[in-house]
Amino acid sequence: MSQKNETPVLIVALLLTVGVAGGALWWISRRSPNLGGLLPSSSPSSTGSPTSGSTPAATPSSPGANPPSTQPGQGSTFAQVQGVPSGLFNYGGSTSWAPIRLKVDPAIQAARSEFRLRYVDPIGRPPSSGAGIAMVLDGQLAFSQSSNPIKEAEYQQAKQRGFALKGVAVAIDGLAVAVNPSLNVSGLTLDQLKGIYIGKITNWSQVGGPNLSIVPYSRPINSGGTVELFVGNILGGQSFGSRVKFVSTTTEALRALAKSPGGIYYASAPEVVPQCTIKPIAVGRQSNALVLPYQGSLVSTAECQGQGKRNQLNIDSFQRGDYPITRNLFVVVKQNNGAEQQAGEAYANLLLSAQGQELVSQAGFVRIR
Amino acid sequence: MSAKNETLVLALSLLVTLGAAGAGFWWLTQRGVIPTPIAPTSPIAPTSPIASPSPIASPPSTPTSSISPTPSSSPVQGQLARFADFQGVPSGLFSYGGSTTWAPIRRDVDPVLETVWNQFRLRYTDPISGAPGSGSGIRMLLEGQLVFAQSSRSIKDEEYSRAQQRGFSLREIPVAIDGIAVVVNPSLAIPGLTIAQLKDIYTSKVTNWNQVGGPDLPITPYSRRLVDGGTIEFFFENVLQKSDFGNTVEFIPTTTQALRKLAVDPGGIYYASAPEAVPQCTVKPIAIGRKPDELVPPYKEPLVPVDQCPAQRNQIDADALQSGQYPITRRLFVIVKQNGQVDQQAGEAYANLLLTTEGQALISKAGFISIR
Repeated sequence: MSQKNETPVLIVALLLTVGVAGGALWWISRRSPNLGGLLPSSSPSSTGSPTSGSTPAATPSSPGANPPSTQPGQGSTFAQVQGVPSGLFNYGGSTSWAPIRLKVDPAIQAARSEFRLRYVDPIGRPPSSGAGIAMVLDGQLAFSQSSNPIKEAEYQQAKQRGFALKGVAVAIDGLAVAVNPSLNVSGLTLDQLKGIYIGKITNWSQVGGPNLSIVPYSRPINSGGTVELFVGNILGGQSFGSRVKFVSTTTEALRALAKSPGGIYYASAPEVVPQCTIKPIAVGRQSNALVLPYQGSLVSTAECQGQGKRNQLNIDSFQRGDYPITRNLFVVVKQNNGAEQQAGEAYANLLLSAQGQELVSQAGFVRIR
Repeated sequence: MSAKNETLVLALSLLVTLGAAGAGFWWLTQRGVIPTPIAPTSPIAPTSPIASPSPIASPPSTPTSSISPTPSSSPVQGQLARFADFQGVPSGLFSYGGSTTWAPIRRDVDPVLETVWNQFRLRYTDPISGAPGSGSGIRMLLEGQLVFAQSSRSIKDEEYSRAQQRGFSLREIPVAIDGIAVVVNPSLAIPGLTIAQLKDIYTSKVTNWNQVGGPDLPITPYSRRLVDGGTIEFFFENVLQKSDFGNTVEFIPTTTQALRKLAVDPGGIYYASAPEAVPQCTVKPIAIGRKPDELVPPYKEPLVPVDQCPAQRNQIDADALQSGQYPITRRLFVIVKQNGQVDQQAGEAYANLLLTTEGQALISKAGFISIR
């Protein structure tokens, strides 16, 4: 072959090689944003010190102390989760999810800035699991956060609108019961708790406490997954008694409880246990099996307010199930083959990644991965 | 350059290129960027390497994950030997529960399973209120509070349609055979009962033991309530043929209480899952048959008298139950939520693990009959 004819051949070969190599690189970067570990992936940033009373300090050892071994590219960090859409997505729902919105969502945003989340409250009613699902059904939210399983009626409504709903569990939550710090009562059985809230038990002396009227507080029926769980599972579907005082939010309830020596309230454990102005009590199925929702000995109001010490959640007990009142937290996904579905599934996957579960655990819930 | 040298150079560069490409490809598979399908050892195993949860994300056009077992996956065809042999066990904390009949399996089999697959963490979950049972387990599965359920009865039509309403399906995978034993007070002299006589007793058509070859003594039939469990539902459908319990039946909440009553009531009779009843020291299991001349005991003969118990206990006659000679048997099922997510994966993994030789051996030791 003459030298003149070789050069174009070599040039074509070079271009082909470069083209193939470039194509391979592009394909790899699609599958693994950090090129299988070549590029540094963004690390989670801790979200700073907890604001007073609303976020528990990180528990020293989470129950899943050995996180499942993951392989790179399979979603162990937020950066590695696949299928995360770009865009601005409205979301909202359960108040029990507040610690996750506070602690986990900002870390997600920092790692995946293309997946922008905007928390939206309902108009004209307090936020709740039910309100969140209603807003998914009517298109106000892309996905919602729930502390309650999706109901038959809600599945039906979705069907009528031409799509489906799917609940994806991402954590386990304990439900705590709290009283005024001055009340001398060690704990209650589920039966006694029921008796108090349906009005059969009206004085603390009937359950081993002082001679003092019981003032049961609750958020209203239809206001939340927590209330529905309580009515369905603790009250066995029976109605609240006439002495129950209804308040719109947990914040209100805790304020009322702090001033009411005979008061009692129930809510998601992370919202209640670290609070300084109330006292969480033990609950159990039997009187000889009462379990506290916090670890170790009780931190007094003085220690709490004066030294910043907080009761730590008894996550091990929520995980084992010896603490008798636990439930799943769900992401409610709108299955409509559209961007909303993708956003909901991505959010669930982010929370179920190793990084997500670690943060969910730090927020006070039981991780399920 | 001579032609010979050029060819050599070209050949060398070709080899170098291929070598570099191969090395690069291998490196990428090691980093997990390129998935390497694991040849499934059983048809039900998902083909992706599972050590971490399967993500649900997928392009908007397909609502189900691409890394998940297909809903129509069939049960294991070739039986695996040990728990460790099964591929496809997901990692995570999985809430499960249901039938009280399954208690011996939860006690004796699940802990062994978890030592082998220590990332497959099982969290037994009671209903917050109400008695545990097959029905409440399936209800909690439908609501998403359990990942999979354990049942001593088949899925009902209304449960199938509730699942459908929610956009998934339920599947029952049989993993064991359980006999239902009938027990009486140890002093009662009776050779046994036919199924027809058992039905007549529980529908109160027969009220005295002398009507069925026993002494002149009124019969007290004990039972748990229909709403409480799969065992009672099974008895109601298959023995009573859906006739109502009669007015002589005394309902008690648990087997423990029933056995206590029976120990002091000479005319009493009760039925329960064989592992719960046959080895008991305070009652006597009796032979049951389809016909009067075909009475088969659920225990290995000879009967161990109560005064030798607990040094010696009656043992379940596995052959009689497995062959069907003993006529009241039912299967125990794992109820799987077929939704293309980790719930399905976990339920199928649990069932497949119980169906290994190791699993079936442990199930037998727990007092049930292996199904393979």
